[in-house]
Amino acid sequence: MMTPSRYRGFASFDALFSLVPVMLMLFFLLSTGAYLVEEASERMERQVVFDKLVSIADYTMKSGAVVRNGTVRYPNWLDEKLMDADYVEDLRQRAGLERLHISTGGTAEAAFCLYRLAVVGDDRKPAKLFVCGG
Amino acid sequence: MQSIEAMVSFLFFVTIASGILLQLENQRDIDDSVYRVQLAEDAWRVLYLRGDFRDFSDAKRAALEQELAAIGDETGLCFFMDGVRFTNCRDSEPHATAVSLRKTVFYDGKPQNFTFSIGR
Repeated sequence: MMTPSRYRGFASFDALFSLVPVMLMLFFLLSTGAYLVEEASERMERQVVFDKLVSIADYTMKSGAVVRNGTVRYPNWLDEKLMDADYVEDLRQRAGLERLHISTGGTAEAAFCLYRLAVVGDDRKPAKLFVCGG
Repeated sequence: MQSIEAMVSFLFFVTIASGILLQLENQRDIDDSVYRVQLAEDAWRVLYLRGDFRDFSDAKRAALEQELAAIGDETGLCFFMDGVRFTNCRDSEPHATAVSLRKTVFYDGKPQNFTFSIGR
């Protein structure tokens, strides 16, 4: 049979050991919380950049660089001459992107690259419009 | 005894938390639903601009399927027109429909609704 003093000692010793998993759980919770916040922030940033590129591609395909006949514009029928450096730079600044590449020639090194289907030239040859940026 | 219980609780907690984290990891993909709809609209618009819906009928099946195959080769996508069953999708491969559009075109001189789907 334990004396009261020995019992109190055992209880404290056991509580001391129990603290270790409790501390580990707290540490795990805090680091998990920090990780989730960081991930959510990164995911949102990536989504914003992607949405900007989608908007830029859609604007280019529907109005920005399409074949025009007076006031009439032909969506998805691209006039490659309109996609010059000034056009790209203007869109890059308006969108607040660090890099932007718009071309029917191919992709560029960037965080995101997406393509749209179009036709080019008088013979309306199928082509891909690449919009890359980040 | 309490230490063992705490350890077991901790292991249980870690297992549950890891499971939840793994599920969150799987939901990290970017939402590209608008982009996919735009891509499907593009494919339809390209076919239209190239005159594939002019005098549209079953007689144009070969020409349209050839166009769909050319676009499919460029994009890695497969296209399917419900109703007339024009497609470049190979039957032998399983395809997940990414997006479907409802379109109206003159078929055999009469306006008809078709579901135009793209898949991978």
